[in-house]
Amino acid sequence: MRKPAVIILLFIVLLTVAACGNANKPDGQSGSEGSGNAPAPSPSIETVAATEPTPTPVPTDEPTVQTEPANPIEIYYADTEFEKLIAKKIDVKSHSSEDLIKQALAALQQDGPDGTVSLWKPIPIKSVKLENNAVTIDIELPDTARLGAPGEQMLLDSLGQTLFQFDFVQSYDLLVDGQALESLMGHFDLEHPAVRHTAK
Amino acid sequence: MKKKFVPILLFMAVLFTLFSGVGQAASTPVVPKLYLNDQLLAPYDDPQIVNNFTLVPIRVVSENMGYEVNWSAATKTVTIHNGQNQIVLTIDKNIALVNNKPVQMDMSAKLQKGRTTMIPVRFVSEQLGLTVKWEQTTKSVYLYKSADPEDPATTPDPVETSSITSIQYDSNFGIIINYDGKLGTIKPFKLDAPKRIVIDFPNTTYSDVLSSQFMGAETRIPVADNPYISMFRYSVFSTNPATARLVLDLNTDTDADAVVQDNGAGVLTIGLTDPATTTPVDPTPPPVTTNPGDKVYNVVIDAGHGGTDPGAKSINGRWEKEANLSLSLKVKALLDKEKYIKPLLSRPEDKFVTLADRVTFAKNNKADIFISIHANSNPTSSVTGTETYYTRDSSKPLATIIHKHLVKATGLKDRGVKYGNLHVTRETTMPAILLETGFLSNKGDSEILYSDATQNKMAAEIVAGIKEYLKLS
Repeated sequence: MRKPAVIILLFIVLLTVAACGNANKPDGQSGSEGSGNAPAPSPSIETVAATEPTPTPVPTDEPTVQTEPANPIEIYYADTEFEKLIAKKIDVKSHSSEDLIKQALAALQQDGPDGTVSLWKPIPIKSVKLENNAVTIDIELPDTARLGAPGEQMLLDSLGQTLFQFDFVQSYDLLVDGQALESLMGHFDLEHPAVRHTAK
Repeated sequence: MKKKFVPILLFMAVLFTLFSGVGQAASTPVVPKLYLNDQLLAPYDDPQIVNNFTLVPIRVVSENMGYEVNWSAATKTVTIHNGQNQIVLTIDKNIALVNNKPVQMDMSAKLQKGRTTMIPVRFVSEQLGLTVKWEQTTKSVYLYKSADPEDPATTPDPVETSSITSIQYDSNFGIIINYDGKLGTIKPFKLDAPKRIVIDFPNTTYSDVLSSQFMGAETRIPVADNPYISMFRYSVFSTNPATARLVLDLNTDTDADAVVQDNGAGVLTIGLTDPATTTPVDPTPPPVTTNPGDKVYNVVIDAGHGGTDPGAKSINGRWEKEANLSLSLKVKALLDKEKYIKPLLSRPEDKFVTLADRVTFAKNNKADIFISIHANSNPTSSVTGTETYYTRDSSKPLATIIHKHLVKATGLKDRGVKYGNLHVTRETTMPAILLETGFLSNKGDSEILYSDATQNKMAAEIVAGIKEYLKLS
């Protein structure tokens, strides 16, 4: 049923193995699925500004207040042709895991690197909650933010990839005005919640 | 399901297929797979393909389908009964007797290894009322047998309940029924003395308003101006399970067939036509007009979005749902003219329909093809082009053919046939694709997509693609 997905996945793995000299990506990025409803969405992921030679540290999941260490995290944007996700590294200082998520989502709404679009820009985020490794995001969906199938796919993938880079995120639930919709934009399923896929 | 070697094998199979010589193709005969209601059957003798027809051992009919089979060695004939129809096949003879009427077959029954009777699966199954589907890529025959109403062991379909809100007569359309909820399968049947057509609606009640208008046990409405019926009446046929019954009383000395059409959006029409021609029993083989391969294909056209979901906004201020519906209606109008195609609209108007309901609509209507019509959008207004999506491998041939035609009609950049895990193309069971005709966010694309002339062209090419796929000339 999902053979094409797995084949593409296979390709990605092959390409990743072949191309990645600096295997410094944290778990769950290159080959894993972006979200529960979007297998094999991302033909490839490019990392922009991967200047640091050191591996990206995985943010700790300490709920306690941290003394603001600068964490490099990756924010995923769609390329303008909706063919792949492109990651941009940013440094954030967060005082809690929930705050880290909030900052990542806020960054998702900013412009990405050249050649990318921020699909989350026109979508107001009303609230973000992290509870028991589950993120709940409540948004507004202006009709003008609606996209075609590939756009919706990229939108969901960019969210999934961005959230699941954090090991402490096991699932996310995307709500529109508090409602659990069948689909965000009428093409793909919106799982409630979308859970991390450990397809490795 | 998650086994990784399967895709690898598949991948290698593709590679080998690409590079294998033509001469090797026929060396080992392909054994087609046989499924009954999606269950793989493993008959004692392998099914085989002869001249593009699949033959299966007769035991499939008796043991798997559960029909009565008798073999006469003296006449080399197999007789199959299913309670309603009787089919007599003679080994190596391409004329079958269906209810004592001779019917030409393209492929006769054969005796294999002198002991196993092999029968043409499509012909026999269709005569027995099963639905037959051939999937070329996997060389699989899918048989679907609907549950036998007399058989208490069969599990009932998931109960879909509905409530009839009005039943009216219209001299153009026949009977028009409005309902809430979902109607199950409706099969009219005829009764004699007096001649009448009976239509039962399973798991269906009448709305409170309609119930309150009942006069006695049934409501009777005389019809004056119809060539076929003089009256229709409706009643509660059963309360457990709730069943509504509609009876059409035929005019004296008149016969008619009822054609039930459910648009899936709460309106069901029952048209009346001349009865299916019952040719008088004639022992001579019928003329070539009797073609057992004549099948009417159900094609679902699924206009994307609708109602509260307007889809993407066009650069000209109009919404995607409008363009999708307009094109869908044009495709339907063209398909209506096709003798062997029955088009069905999953969203015939500006109304919100869930993705799940679109899939259910296609399944309930036993669609042979599902085509969802959408338009694309991108914040980058320079992005342009036409693309087609599929999810299941079995849908790829349809995607390739329709896409080729669609690109010709739009004249836009060919963005190709793509895999996507879209709900409607994944959850449907027939070949299903989704067309993204062009980008409403692009000025040029948008002008084309809302132009009546291009829409006509797109509709004509989509229809040409459907016919090419179905091999209808």
